[in-house]
Amino acid sequence: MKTLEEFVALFAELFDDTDPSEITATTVFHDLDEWSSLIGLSIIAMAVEEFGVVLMGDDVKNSVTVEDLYNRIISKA
Amino acid sequence: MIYKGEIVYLRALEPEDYEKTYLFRDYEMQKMTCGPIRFSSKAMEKNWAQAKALDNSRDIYLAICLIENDEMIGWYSINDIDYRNRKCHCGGIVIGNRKYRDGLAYEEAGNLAFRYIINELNMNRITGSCLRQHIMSRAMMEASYWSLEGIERQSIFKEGRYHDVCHYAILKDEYLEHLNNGDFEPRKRMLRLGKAIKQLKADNKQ
Repeated sequence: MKTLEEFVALFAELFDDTDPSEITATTVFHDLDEWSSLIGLSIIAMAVEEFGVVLMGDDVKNSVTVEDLYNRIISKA
Repeated sequence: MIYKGEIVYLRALEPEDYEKTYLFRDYEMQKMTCGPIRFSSKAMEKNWAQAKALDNSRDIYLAICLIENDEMIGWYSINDIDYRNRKCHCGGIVIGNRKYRDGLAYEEAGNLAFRYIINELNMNRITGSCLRQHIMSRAMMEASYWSLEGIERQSIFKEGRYHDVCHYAILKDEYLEHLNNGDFEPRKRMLRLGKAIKQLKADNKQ
C-alpha cells in the first residue's frame, strides 16, 4: 500500500503547470488554479491503477485536502 | 427535449444562459483549449448565446444541468456538423462550476452527448482536437479509443508562442464495437486512462 507521501507525489504529477511544491497533504485541491474535470478524472484513474479502488464523484467532491482523498481511497482499498 | 443521466442532463442552450457562460470563461480553462484567450463582455456573451440558441444547423450547443436542482454547470458543443458526409467535430465540454469538476459530471455529459451524436444525429465520423501539451485531453481521447490522425505543427498562437494541435477521430463502427465489448465500463476505462497518461508523459519527457 502506498504511503501518504507517495500519494501526494502521484497527485502532484497529474498537474502540468502547478509547481509540485505547492501540493502537500494539506492542500485544498479544489482551490488550485489548474483544477479541472480532466484532473478529477485522472485522480479517479490513478486510484484504480495504483490502489485498485473505484472512486465515486462524491469521494472527490467531498474531499477537501489531498490527505482527505488519500484517506477515502485507503478506506476502500 | 432533454437527454438525462444520473447526475446531469443535457438541454438546448437558451439565450438567457449567457449569464452563466460569461462566468464559465475563466483564464485557466481558455489556456488549455484550442481557442484563443480573449476578453468577452457580457454584451458579447449575450449575442453569442443568442446566436447559438437560435441556429443549430451547423453547431449544436447543449447546456449541462444538474438533475438535483436544474442548475446549469457547463456546456457541450458539437460543431461543423456535415449531414451529407455524416461527420462532426466535438468542440469540447466545459464544466464551468468548479464545484462539479470531480470528473463524473464531465464523463456523464460526454457520454450523453456522444449517444446523441451517434443515435440521433447519425454521425459516422467524429473528430476532436487538443493542444499537444495538454496531456489530460489527449489521454482522455486515447482512453476513449479515438485515433490520432495527425499533428498540426505550430497551428495556434497563444500565450506568446505557437502550439502544436493533435487531431483525433473515431468512427461510429469503432465506437459501437468498443461499446458492445464493454470497453467503456468505468473501471476498464479508468485503467486505460491511467495508462494513457503515463505513456504520454513518458513520451513528452523524451
